[in-house]
Amino acid sequence: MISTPMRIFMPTELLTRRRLLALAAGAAVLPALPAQAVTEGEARGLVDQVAAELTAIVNSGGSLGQMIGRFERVFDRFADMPVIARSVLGPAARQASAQQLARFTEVYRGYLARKYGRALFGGYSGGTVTVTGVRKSGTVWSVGSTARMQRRSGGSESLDVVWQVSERSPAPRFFNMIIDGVSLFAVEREEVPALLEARRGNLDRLIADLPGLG
Amino acid sequence: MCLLTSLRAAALGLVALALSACTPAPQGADIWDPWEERNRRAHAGNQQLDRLISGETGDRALPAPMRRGVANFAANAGAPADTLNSLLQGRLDMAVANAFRFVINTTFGLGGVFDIATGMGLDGRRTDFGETLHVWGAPEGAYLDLPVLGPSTERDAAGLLVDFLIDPLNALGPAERARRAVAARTLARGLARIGDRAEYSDFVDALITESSDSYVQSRLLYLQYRRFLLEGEARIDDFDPYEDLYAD
Repeated sequence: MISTPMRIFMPTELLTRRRLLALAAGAAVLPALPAQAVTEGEARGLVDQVAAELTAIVNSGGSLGQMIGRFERVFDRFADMPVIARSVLGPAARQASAQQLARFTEVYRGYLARKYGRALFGGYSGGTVTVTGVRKSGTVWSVGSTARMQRRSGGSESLDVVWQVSERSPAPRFFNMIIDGVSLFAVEREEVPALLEARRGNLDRLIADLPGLG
Repeated sequence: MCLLTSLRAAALGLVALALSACTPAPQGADIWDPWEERNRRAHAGNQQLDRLISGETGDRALPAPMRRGVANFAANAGAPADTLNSLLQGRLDMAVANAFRFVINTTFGLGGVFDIATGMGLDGRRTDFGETLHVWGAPEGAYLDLPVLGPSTERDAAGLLVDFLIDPLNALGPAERARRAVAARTLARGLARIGDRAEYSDFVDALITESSDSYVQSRLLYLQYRRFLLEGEARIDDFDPYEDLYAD
């Protein structure tokens, strides 16, 4: 039953009552398994695109503000922002309305781009990001990459950046980046609840304040 | 000399004792912080110190063009200790590289101000006795935030003490010259930290200074980065946020 293909593009005449029952039973066992798991090739292809875009940004010679703007579009196009936003909110996400979650996701994306854009692009004037390999732990693909960066002050350094994509994601999009061992996701799961607590758990206040933070 | 040697031996014995009494971390604990109250007090002091050395004060104390030279000098004066620790870790290639770097940069790089060796393609590896203890299998122990020195662990703090006691720089040349070299290195290390603070200000401000709880953030960043350095790769857990999502 578990191996029942869950594609829904099948002619309606094939959807007999028995088939529907079988599908429903399968769905009960695996509530929301995506139609198709994200493959290794898709995860790698995603990170190839992200690496090319980051390389273009860091070499663009633009202002930090422009780089942060482009970085926000990287989160928009290649990251699973709704999942990241929900997850860093923790238990508070369960009490939030769909509308609050949508607004939070929007402003949080800008906050992430400013905070990590500053941390990542602030000190560098150029560089290249290349994918090095893929490994799997549990249901998660971890795509390794190396960023060879030139510092504005001269000299160069190398950063180890791992991108994480869940095979359970409905589309190949990353949910985490780990820079020299520092997991953005782990940092944010401490920081966002602390920001919320500083506002007595008031999510609307956090949504109002986030555009001024990061 | 003999007294000094026996003092050192006694101190090393104390470190060994301290290590064996290293606070054991509970199984599976990512962050083990039984000294949090004491750590937070030290952290508050360190943040005040940080406000002093960051920004314009830091730029005035160590102008950008001097940063590289000071950092090079501090790193080069640490190369003998890097060599010794590489040997103790059984990393012969790194011991050789660090030793050659020290000779080349001290001789041709004006006492280490210029990093000639890197230009020749001879890369070293900075290390310390904390890493040696890791290689020997000592546990990380509890998290520590040390006054002035900042984030550490029980293992790394014991390593700092041992590095101080077995520093081979003391044995290079006559005693008086060695003492001057150690003093110059201490000064250079202090200045290099001010320089680093300025160089990485975007990173430090965005992730630590401006965070809602800088103690929690610096603890997390230090432990994750230190483990990355010691283990040579990022720790990957199999946490999958989609698991939570579907569990709703």
